[in-house]
Amino acid sequence: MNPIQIGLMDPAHVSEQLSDEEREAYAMLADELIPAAEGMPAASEVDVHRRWIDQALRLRPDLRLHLKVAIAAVGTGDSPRQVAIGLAKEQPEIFAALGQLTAGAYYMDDRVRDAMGYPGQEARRLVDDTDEYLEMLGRVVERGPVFREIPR
Amino acid sequence: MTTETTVPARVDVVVVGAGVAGAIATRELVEAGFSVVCLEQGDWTPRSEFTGATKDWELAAQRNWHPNPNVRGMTADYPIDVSESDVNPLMYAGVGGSSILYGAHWVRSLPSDFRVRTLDGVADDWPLTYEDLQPYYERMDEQMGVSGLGDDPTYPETAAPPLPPLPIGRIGIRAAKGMDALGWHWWPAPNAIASRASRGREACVRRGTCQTGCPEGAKSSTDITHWPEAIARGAVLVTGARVSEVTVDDRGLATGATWLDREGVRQHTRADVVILAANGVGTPRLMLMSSSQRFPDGLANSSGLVGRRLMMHPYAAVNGVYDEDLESWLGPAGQSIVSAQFYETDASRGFVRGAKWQVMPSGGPLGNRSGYGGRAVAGGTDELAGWGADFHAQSRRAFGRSFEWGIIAEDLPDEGNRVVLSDSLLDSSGLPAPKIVYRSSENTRKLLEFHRDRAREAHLAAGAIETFDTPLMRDCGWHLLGTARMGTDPADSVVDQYGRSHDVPNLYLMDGSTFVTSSGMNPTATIAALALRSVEHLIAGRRSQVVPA
Repeated sequence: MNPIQIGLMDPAHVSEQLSDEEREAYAMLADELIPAAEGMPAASEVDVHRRWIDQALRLRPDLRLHLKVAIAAVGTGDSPRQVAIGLAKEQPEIFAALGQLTAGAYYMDDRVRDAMGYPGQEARRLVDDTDEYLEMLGRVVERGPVFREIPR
Repeated sequence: MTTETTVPARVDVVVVGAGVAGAIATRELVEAGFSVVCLEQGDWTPRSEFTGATKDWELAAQRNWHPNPNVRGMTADYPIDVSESDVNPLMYAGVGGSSILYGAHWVRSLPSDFRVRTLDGVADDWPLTYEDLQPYYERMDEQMGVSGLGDDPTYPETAAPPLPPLPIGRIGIRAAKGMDALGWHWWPAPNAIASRASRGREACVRRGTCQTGCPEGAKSSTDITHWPEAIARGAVLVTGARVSEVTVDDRGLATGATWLDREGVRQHTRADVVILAANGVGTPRLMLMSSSQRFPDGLANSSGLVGRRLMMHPYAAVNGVYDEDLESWLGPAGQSIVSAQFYETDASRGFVRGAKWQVMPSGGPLGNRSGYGGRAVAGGTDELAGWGADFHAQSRRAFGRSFEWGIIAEDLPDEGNRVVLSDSLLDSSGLPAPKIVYRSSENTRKLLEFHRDRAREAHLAAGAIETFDTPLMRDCGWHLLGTARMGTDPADSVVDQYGRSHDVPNLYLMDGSTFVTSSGMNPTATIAALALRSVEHLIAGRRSQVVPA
């Protein structure tokens, strides 16, 4: 079921781009999911709401409506935390999409990757590491075959 | 790569499907002087389209590069009705077929896999043995340029893989230490991934994105390993060609294939021999779509087994978290080490057959979250578990410090598990989509439970500080097997040991559909070896091959 089917949003009013107001509302929600903690920046500190969410939506256009529904729930008087809890409880599909897009967008930022010690899926020179395990492998060979002999 | 020029109206052989088996068969045929047209519903996939070297990778993997065609939803894909299936079939439509997205786990079935009725009293024996297939396995290792280490006691004595092993990495070393402590079998994994430049492939750079396409061209997919040579020798590969029917004459011989081109225009290619290599879902689908007055229940289906006995290898995993940096996003992915410790039947376990294990990396941070996300590190149970401060705590604890022992369960054949034609769902050409009816068995459930327990022990012996089980993945149906089984008796099999139809002697099947049982191994090496054996038999028997007028 998508947000249109469940009557939460009129597709005629769903624009392609997020407005400035939507971005600010989204920032509050994104920071609720990914706050500054453990030496890591909050989502809004690395421009998830202004930059990376556009990249995420380019790759997951199927989740645009879900995100819009989530953003629309901010500003209804509830705190961002209450909104997030409400979505998780009552609209898990919307919440899952929100989480997927926000985490995916966050992990694109180099400051985040550096802080995690993650260089991305980088190219590495192949190394021969057989010396590190040949002794252990010798014991596997000594234990002998593991396949079942077939009676003739 | 250019493909179709002018499609000849009549050829010696028409091949349906340009995946692993279709590529192998075509190359052998053109080398032997046959004229061949291969009809492929998908397209070439340029290496430049793969996102593994970019920041797009993980989100793109969830959509455009997802192995489930229902998620991908590309025009070349046909939709699949999975409303009555425990498992989603996975595949890729294009030149190279599912080898574009596979993990290149290049392992053979074991001798016992061909004798399960004799040894365990279940299912059926194959009409051939491991020894029959071993020379073809060895030749396919060469053709695909497999990297690995010889003398694995999983198998009888055989030639070593042609390329040196890929690094098993920190995850492999850590996992091996656990297996060593327990005295269990393990071995550096064989992969169809080049450890050095070989036969048109570049050397692997451990990018770890094998299952969304290899940006380096180090993984052996048949668009690289076979098609360029086949086309150079005269094969005509037609992309964007969706086959709707295998046609037959009054004698019940196949006369060729009717197909729809990119514009939806109906075409027909006449051939003396038809080879179906469209995978264990696509091949029975096409046979069922090819019903006629002479074959009212589907082409070559006098046994009633076309589409039945579907096996998809239910897959479970146990992930372990360690207290050291294992760089577990690094490839190959691919497999690092494998184990056949619990592969063979032990009646005391309460089930028959077994499973292959493999260590695989845990991917980037988003993939890592899919393994560990949503679990509160502090043990909280609120709706936002895994978010807030937990988001970072979880990442710090598990990302780069975890890996998976994956478990491929041997799936026994059950005639109730099947591929049928949907009565409501159509593909983009208006052809009936396949529907999957599939339930995993009690034997499978017991098997997976036992293996998960042992895999947890393997992690703990290796020093894991925490483990997470995935009991059965829904998106795990990579291995589409058994839907047109081989055998000696036309009453209970669809094809003979060379893939030739019992009912239609110029129709051959060369893909996973002919498997009698599934084994507990990744099947591509066996599909490839069977294809090579079958096509050589076809070529050798060319003078006695029955063909239409």
